[in-house]
Amino acid sequence: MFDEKAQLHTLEGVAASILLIGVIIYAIDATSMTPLTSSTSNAHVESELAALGQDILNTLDYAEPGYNSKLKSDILNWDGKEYLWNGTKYIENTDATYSQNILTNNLTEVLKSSLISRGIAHKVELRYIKRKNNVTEPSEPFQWIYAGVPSHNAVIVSKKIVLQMGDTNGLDLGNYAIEPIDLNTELFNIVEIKLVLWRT
Amino acid sequence: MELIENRNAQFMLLASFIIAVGLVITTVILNSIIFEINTAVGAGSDPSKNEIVNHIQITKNEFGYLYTTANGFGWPIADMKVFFNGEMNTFNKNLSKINALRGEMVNVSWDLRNWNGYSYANFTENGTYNGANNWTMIYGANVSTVDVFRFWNATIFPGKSFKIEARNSTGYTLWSVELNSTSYVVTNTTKSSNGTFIPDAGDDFTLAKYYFNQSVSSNRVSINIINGSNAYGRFLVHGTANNRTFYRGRDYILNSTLTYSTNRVRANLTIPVSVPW
Repeated sequence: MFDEKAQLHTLEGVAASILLIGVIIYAIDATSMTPLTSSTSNAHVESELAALGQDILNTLDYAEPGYNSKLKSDILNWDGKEYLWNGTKYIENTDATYSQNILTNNLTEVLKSSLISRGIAHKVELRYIKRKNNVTEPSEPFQWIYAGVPSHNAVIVSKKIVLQMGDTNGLDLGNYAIEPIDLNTELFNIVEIKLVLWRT
Repeated sequence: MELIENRNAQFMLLASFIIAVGLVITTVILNSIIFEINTAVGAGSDPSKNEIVNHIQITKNEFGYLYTTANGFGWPIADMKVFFNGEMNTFNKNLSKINALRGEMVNVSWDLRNWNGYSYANFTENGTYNGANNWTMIYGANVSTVDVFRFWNATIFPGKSFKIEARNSTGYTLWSVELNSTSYVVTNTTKSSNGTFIPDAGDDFTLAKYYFNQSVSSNRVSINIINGSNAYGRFLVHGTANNRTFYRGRDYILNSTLTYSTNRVRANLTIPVSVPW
């Protein structure tokens, strides 16, 4: 009954097991806290967003020979204004006391079905070549669709669309948002469309 | 004193300390590995791949547009090429400018030797001799609107033959014409009249046309080319398919080289471009 050997043996065994269990708990907690934990799969989420965005642009830019793509048609119909998503539609970013245009085109239809339904925030920018003092240079980015400031893990996908003079038949070039590079050439402009996506 | 001499439990404690330290080290290493993997995944996805494909696509479209426009003016061929070269230079210059924003350099060069030398494309899928020999040019063509399939400057290699087929949706050949360098044979399973292939100059395939709507009774057909590498020349077919007007035609295969340069990629890509479509 007074076998102190076994009692101390047991006590040391309990101490050792508590130590081991404590370390195991620490190890489990530590491995779930990786440096990229706003999800551990953060990089994979970004890759998926990039693939989704690129697929959207590629699909909209498909065209049969002799036809304009849906994306090119939307750019040719761009009125130069900025639009915001208000929860149900893309409305013009102007004074709300006045009538605001609503943007409805091929791009917005795809954005609604592919991004908004999944809670993916997005914005669309356009950049083209402008002429200034007889020198051509890239323009500043113009917001086409704006939805706030992107998060730090937003992804950007882009595509270049070439506008030819023949594509602008029927357009009022004086009022069109994108200027021609040179009216003496067949190349009207090269537009870069950027789609920025991020998870909210 | 027996207590001090009892080392078993002390070894147990020692072992647990060693295991605990080992677990901590393993955890730290595992953390680092996961972090590096995630970082590598982010760095490995190369956006340049999509940009390269985009540049190839817009270059091909530019070729087709300028070639078609040049031919549409009805100028002498030398003037057409001057126009083509001038416009491509403008395109190249402005493409470089818009890419410069990203620290990328793209330069487009082109080779018009086939156009200069009247070296026409083969009737394979991509226009080169090694392209797919048997291919479908258009699916679901509405026969009543596919009026004319035209050839110009066409040549069939001696001893070889080349065939055009119209097949229905089940793959059954409704109409075909098989041509060789001296004659042609029409097979028609849908209409009594075979006289729908009309070489414009007697039996010369060089300049010929045929009328689908007079030869095939089925509403929708796919137009197929068989043994396209056995012949070369220019062709054009247009009509309506799936309620849209379509054009399929080819005169030459021109070569374009994209010199692409970023901080991660250095590449020279030479791509064959079929003109006009």
